[in-house]
Amino acid sequence: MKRATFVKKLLQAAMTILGVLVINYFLFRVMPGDPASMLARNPRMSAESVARINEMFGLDRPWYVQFGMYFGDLVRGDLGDSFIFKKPVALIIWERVPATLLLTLVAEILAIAAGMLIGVVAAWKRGSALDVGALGFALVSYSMPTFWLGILLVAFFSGYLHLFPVSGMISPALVFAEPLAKLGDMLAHLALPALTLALVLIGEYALIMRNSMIDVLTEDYIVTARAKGLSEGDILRRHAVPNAMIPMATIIAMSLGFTITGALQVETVFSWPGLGRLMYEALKGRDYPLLQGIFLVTSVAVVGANFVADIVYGYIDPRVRA
Amino acid sequence: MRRFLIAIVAAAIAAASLPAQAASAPGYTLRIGTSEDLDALSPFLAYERAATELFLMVYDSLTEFDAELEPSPGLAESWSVSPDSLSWTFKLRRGVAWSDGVPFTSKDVKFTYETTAAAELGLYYGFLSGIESIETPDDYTVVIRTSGPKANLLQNPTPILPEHIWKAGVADLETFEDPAMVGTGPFRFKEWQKGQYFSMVANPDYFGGAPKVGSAVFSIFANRETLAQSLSNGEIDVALNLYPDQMAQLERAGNVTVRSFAGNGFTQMTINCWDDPASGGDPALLDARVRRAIDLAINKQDLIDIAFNRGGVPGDSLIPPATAFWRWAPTGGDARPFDPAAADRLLDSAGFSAKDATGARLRADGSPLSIRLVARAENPREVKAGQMIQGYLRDVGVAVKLSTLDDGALSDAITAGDFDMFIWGWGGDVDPTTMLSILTTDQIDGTNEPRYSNPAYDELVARQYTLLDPSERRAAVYQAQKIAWEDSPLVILAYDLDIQAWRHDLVGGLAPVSGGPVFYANTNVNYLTAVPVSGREAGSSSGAIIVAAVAGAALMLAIIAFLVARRKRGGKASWNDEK
Repeated sequence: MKRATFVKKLLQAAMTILGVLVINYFLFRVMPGDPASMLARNPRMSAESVARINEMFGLDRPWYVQFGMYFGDLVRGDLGDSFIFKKPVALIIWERVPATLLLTLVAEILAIAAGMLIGVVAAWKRGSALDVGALGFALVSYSMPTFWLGILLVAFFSGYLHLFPVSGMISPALVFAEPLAKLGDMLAHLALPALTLALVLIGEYALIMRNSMIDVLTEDYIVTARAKGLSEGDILRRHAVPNAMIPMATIIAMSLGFTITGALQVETVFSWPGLGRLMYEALKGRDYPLLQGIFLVTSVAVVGANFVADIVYGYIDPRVRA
Repeated sequence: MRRFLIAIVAAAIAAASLPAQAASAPGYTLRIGTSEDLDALSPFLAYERAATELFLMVYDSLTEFDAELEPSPGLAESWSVSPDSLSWTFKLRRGVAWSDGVPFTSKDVKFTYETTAAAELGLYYGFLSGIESIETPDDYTVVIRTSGPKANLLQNPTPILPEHIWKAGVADLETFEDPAMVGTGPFRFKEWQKGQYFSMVANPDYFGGAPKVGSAVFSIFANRETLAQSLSNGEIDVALNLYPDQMAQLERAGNVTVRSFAGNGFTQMTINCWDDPASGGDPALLDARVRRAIDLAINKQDLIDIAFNRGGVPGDSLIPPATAFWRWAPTGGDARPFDPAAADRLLDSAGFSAKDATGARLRADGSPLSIRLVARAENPREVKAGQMIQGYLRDVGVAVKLSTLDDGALSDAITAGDFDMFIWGWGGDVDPTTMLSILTTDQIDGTNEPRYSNPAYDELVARQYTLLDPSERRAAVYQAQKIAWEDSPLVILAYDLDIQAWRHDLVGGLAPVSGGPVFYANTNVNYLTAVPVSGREAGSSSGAIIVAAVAGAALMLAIIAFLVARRKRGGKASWNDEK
């Protein structure tokens, strides 16, 4: 990729994030209700106490001063203090990131691997019973309500097979002598949420991979490869799959950008302490600073992932590289 | 590559063969699953039930409730009251130390009460009203003088705080917290991960005897299906806040005891009674006949069966059945069973007899009678109740405009007096004063959300508070409830059913206290008597789960490694082909 193109893309990403920052600020100010009343739930609180709280969070200043404070703090990397946690927003988000990344990355990897495999096989055996089965599975998976699937898996794996724990990230009451035992406990807790999330993601990947493969398989170079006497396996591996991967790369990169927000529904069903649940709690408590922080992190992740997708695209698709 | 895979599998096998839970904390951990989280660690900042429960475990009060909810010795060993009923002398326990080792003395009691009463923050300052002065003749005596006789002085759960910690926070009680929660209670606070869990370890030096469990942890569940499932799996010993439809399934298992009881609280529809030009309420609602008609028109049993999923019993009077001694239940001529025809007659007599072509009632000026109702957006059960009430009132010719608001926005509307009706809930207390005072005139701008005012009611509530004889006091409490029932500023829809369950094959020693609850019972007795069923190891995750999980992780790594390797080979091959 030319340097000029790279710089242009980078500038575009920066502009987008700047826009998000501005919208982010005003979006939460137009929501109904007074955050101070949420903070000071005691209706008998004295006027001085309310004033103190307003002053503490800068809510007594005019909006443009608050906006200036917000931007100034952002530049210093300070996302403000959460109303409900009464701790720095950056710290709260940072504490939740590992749980979310663990859950979503594991689910994504499972879903990408399984989705691609299903998509390739379905396209290769297009029209066969295998294809119909795979297509059916993909459609069901794609349209499955996440929370419902989660509860079904709980009923089966936990209720019937008594195999996995159903809540949280680790057994809170246990003290682990060995780090590996702790890891095992965490993985056991991870199994059901990750499986749920993976199952709902597989469908999308499988459908896109299948379509992409079907397109590629009708290309002339596949006929050429066949004419050269390559085996079917070699045609798939060397010619079809790499080319079919091009649209997949975009989908995967974008999807990875969204993984940071976690999966609100899965995290709620399984009480997984990630960013999705954090966002829900922040929304319930009208916690502007925390919501802003989460939105900011999400926006940066999505814009960043798109940026990476653009770059990667340049590498895997030579036509864009020019 | 192959070597790498072998290494992963070897690590997995090694991990799986480790003892699953090796050393747990000394003693058994009582594991409680709940849907309710703490909101703060400071008694001046916390309003949630979970926090009240934590305070019962970590702190002590002068007197504490026993299993019959009678006052029993807490930090005070004994007490006496002067013949004029205005001066109470408490003899404190000797040899009690705070969890940081500093001795507990009468100074801590004086400091806590004076600070709490002055701050007017949190859930406890109301218990201290009427206290005029607190004296500490020596380290183990507290003398409390009251302005009038104070019938509920012994029903005072205010947690006693250590002066040497909290004096630093007096100027700043809106934000001050003691992160270590230095206390005298049967448990010592350990950790709070908001949204995940809060935990405690047993206090071996507790004056009432150390708890029989080594620690206690409350896990916060975001979902009640998994809460019940966790109990079945044995991941937790106790599940609180279950749904009624989960009871049968849990009971079928045979190793779970399920307790369902009408909790000490209710869900009500509050009606704006503010008779003032500034009121944003509908003037039609100022007539008690209209409010009674609304109460009559609602089929509470159906409402509970459908909207609340059978999670309650039909409500009437202000004091719930949980505090049976104080509860006046309307019977005979006072009773108001579901009766739309009677509601119709009442509305006719209140001057809303004219109707339009659709049967909707009209005001005197000919405009349609239309009332606004707000339900809380975050509570789907209450929203559904609102929809049903809309239907019931339509049947008696009253149009209802239903809207939903989030809690904060609704609070603002309530504070401004700008509403007609809304649905929300109240939690009560062992002493009836708390519940009765939500309708007294001096609580307007406070807990008196309907802004109801009736001098006769105020007088009774103030008087019952001074009657030390329980039966005399009860007569006044009854009369106050009767007035509130006649005036109906609150239409009490349901006394909410509370459902608690525990694995009796894992923990024993639990018994319901007066009124039905085992936990969240205004007393910490069940935390002290809870005992692990013998012959059981702490923890439940078996080796098999760990093997499965680690094997799953190994499989994942193998897939990644495989894909990466394959990508490389594929890449090289096509590169060669292009050449």
